[in-house]
Amino acid sequence: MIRIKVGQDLLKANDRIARSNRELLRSRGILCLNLISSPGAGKTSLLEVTCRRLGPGVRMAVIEGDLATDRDAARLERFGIPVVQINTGTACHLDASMVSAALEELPLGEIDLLAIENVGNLICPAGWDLGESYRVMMLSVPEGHDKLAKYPLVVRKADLLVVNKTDLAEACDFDWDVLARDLEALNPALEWIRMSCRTEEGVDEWIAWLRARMDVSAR
Amino acid sequence: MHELALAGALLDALRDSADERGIRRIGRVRVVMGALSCADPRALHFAFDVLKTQDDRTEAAQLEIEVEPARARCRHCRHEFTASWWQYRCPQCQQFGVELEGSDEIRLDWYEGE
Ligand SMILES: Nc1nc2c(ncn2[C@@H]2O[C@H](COP(=O)(O)OP(=O)(O)OP(=O)(O)O)[C@@H](O)[C@H]2O)c(=O)[nH]1
Ligand SMILES: [Mg+2]
Ligand SMILES: [Zn+2]
Repeated sequence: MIRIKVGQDLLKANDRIARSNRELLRSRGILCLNLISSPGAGKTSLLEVTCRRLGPGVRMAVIEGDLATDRDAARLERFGIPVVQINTGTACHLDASMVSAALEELPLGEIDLLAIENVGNLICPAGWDLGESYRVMMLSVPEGHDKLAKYPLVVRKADLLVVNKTDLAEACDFDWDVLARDLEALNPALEWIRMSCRTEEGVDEWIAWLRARMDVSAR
Repeated sequence: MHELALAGALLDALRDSADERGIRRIGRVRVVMGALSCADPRALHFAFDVLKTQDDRTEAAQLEIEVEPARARCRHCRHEFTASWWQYRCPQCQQFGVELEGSDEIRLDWYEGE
């Protein structure tokens, strides 16, 4: 037996594809979001509100990582936007090659904002770069105020945290101080928005966050 | 759960290298996992042992995982220590607010083959 030195990062192949996705999207002036949350936190609801609020002036498209059904895709197709569903069966996260294949099905010349709804999971998607411009982590109030500490990698790698379902905060005894303390410990620079897709609290702030970044990527 | 995908990537990397070097049988395989990688060594072991049997060259491979600790420093009392996981409560002053500096990479370091 001989010993062979390799020294290769196992995610290198993924990162290479992610880089080419990112270059492609950037060359077309498309702002791309990678939306990560637990199952049911409200990712599709947020995209629905976003479609409604941005209106026809912003051309939006969605890549859906709902692996078992096409329900989320159907909810968004109602808005008349292009939706590509990624069907890989049982994967716990999307990877860059899945997104690369989905990009081939989209009319890239006619898109300003591309949202990728990742598979509902706060652990696995964190390690896989898809080529997005920004990572948006969503946590919903019923999951509990102590959850950030359990998913440190995604908190550390996120560009924005959306805390959804604030309309349920009282019923869930949600303690905002615990959330703030965990954020301070894990990623003090992380911007965050309190949001309710039900009452639309925080939606103006979210739309402003998006518009500011869309203006930059369109240049 | 993504350990299955990681094990697949690890076996791909091993096969690529074995092809290049004309290796027909792989023995020890050394993986270095950054403390901040959020992968579970036991789950990676398990997934590797399931998938390795799909190829004659990797069938007898034995995986060894080394966790590379992160450097940790408390923002409050400046206590410095090493962490093998996402630790953000300071063991000295018990406050939250530890800065961690370390790798989140999972790297195939070396393997033995013939
Ligand atoms: N009360 C309340 N319910 C919400 C809010 N946002 C979403 N929901 C509800 O939460 C449930 C799940 O929402 P989805 O948007 O499907 O969540 P998701 O993250 O896309 O779920 P998966 O794709 O299955 O992981 C639905 O019943 C929504 O109506 C909110 O702000 N407040
Ligand atoms: Mg959904
Ligand atoms: Zn301390």
